[in-house]
Amino acid sequence: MTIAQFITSTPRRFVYACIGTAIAAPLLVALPHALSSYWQSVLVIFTLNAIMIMGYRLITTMGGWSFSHVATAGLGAYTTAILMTLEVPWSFWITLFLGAGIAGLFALLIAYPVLRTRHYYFFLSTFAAGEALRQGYIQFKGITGGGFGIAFIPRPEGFLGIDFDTTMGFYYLALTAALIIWLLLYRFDLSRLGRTIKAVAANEELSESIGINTWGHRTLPFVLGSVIAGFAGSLSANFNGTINPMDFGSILMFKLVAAAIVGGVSTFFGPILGLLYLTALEEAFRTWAEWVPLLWGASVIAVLMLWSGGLEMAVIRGFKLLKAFLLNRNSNHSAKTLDS
Amino acid sequence: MQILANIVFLSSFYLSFAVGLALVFGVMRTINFAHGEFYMLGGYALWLLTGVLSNNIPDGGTFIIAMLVGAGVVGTLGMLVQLSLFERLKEQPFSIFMATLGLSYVLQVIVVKTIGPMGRSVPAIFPGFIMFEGAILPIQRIVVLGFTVLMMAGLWYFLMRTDLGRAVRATAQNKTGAMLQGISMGRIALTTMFVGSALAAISGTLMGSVLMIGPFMGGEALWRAFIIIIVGGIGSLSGTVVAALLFGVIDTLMTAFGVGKFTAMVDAIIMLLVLSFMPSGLLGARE
Repeated sequence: MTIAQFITSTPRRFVYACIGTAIAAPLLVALPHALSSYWQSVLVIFTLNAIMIMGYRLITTMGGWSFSHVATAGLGAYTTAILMTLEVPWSFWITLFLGAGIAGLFALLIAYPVLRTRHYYFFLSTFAAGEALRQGYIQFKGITGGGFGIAFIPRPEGFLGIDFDTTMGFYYLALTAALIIWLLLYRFDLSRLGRTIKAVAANEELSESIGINTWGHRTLPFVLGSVIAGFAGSLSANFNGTINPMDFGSILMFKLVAAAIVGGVSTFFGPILGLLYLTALEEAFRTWAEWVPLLWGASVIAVLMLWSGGLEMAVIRGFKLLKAFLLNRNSNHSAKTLDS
Repeated sequence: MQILANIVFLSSFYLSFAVGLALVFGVMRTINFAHGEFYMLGGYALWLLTGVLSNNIPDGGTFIIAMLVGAGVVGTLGMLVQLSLFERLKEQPFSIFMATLGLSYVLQVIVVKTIGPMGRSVPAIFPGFIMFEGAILPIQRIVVLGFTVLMMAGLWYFLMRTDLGRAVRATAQNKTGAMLQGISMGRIALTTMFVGSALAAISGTLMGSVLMIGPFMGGEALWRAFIIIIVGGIGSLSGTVVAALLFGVIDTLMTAFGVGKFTAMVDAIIMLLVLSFMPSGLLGARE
């Protein structure tokens, strides 16, 4: 396919996104050079969480807010941790994709029961399933190391002159993964399949009556989102070098959910914006770390009550105002609530 | 015999915790995620009052005062939540749910910062135990069981025999119908939140006398309560009773046979199976 064919056959917004990514990529590559080693690790963790939340946003497009996302990510992390600390360690690259696959398989297994529930029922049932999985990490001590977890997970050997043992080198690995997943998911979001999934979420009966396989269109994003979670989990186990069941507990899950609410999920960039806000809050209050969950919780309540639509709506409104100002036109944009 | 006693103790705990959640859901059609934190506050009411009152009045008195004070304070807190959060986010059950999730973290942090992250325990108020048919029954546990039964009887009386309780049930069955009969929705919502939150606090005070009291005790109890109300059928009080009994039996038997550490997983698998074949729960009505 030539470049001209690519541009004419894909949605215009995706072409813009590719151009935008191509412009942003050098900046993101240059970014860690300006940062201290502490902020480099913050950046890596942010990038890994961003991958995780892109998967989460994919799940929310089908209308369900999963609470087992982080526990599922743990499957990827444990796969990498267990296989790379064997006497004959596996290659990281194999465990990365195997872990993602196992996370997807788990999602497929629980999809049948949990997708029978809607709205907050879905939240509750995935919450219970995820917590049971996390209990599994604690209780199957022989495999998972129990409450202590697994330590001394090696980083992958470098290539193309990039040394993954350094934080900066690992950042490039995480960034590459994040950008690829971002472009793939953005394309998916604009595709017919992606839009059908949103149609099913908006009105399931109507979609079914015009012959859409609603079951498949709800299972697919759930499984794909979990695969991405497993992928991110595997990378994070590798970055931290050590994992334990606490890493996949409710506080990280709450961070993702809070990011999705504070940022909003109707656009692609919303949850990432929310994650950026929560991470900024966390770092600003680093010396008062115990207060951080309170600030996150208060932010969630404030956004829900005072500012429906979240940060993404603020950006969209700002953008529309700018456009209206430039083109001298009036524009109205009504906010969407989570329940609409 | 010991197993039977343990089943009764455990089931009564599950029931006392989950029933408030089920009641609130039945009327409000939303889940109060902060229910676990209300329960935790009930536990702390006992701990604080034991510290203040233990020198002045007998321990039994402290226990009852803690229950009343905890229920009153937390019930009022529930009414405040109703007025500030639920009322403003009316008709958006999912937003309410998310807001209470935020609230639960706010309450946890407040307790951690004011009282401390360490678990606390109160000395046994009714020490000793009795032997019955070869089973060891701590008196404390029997008292807790007695109060749980009393609490359930009180709830039953309130719902079945008082006008306000009938109005609450009517609202749970058919909101529009209840409104047409002149029932004030605002008043019913306030009542339900008060009763539901007070039930959580009483449950917390009762369990606080036998378990460790800590800022995160609510979260640990909450996810099992979710399993119970899902399996019982969300919003169905009788379903909650059946499911609490079911999981009391399963968890006690698993502990008795030495596989107690897997109860969490087995309970979750049972929930997934129930959802697979009876998505509206054992006794839940199809929405």
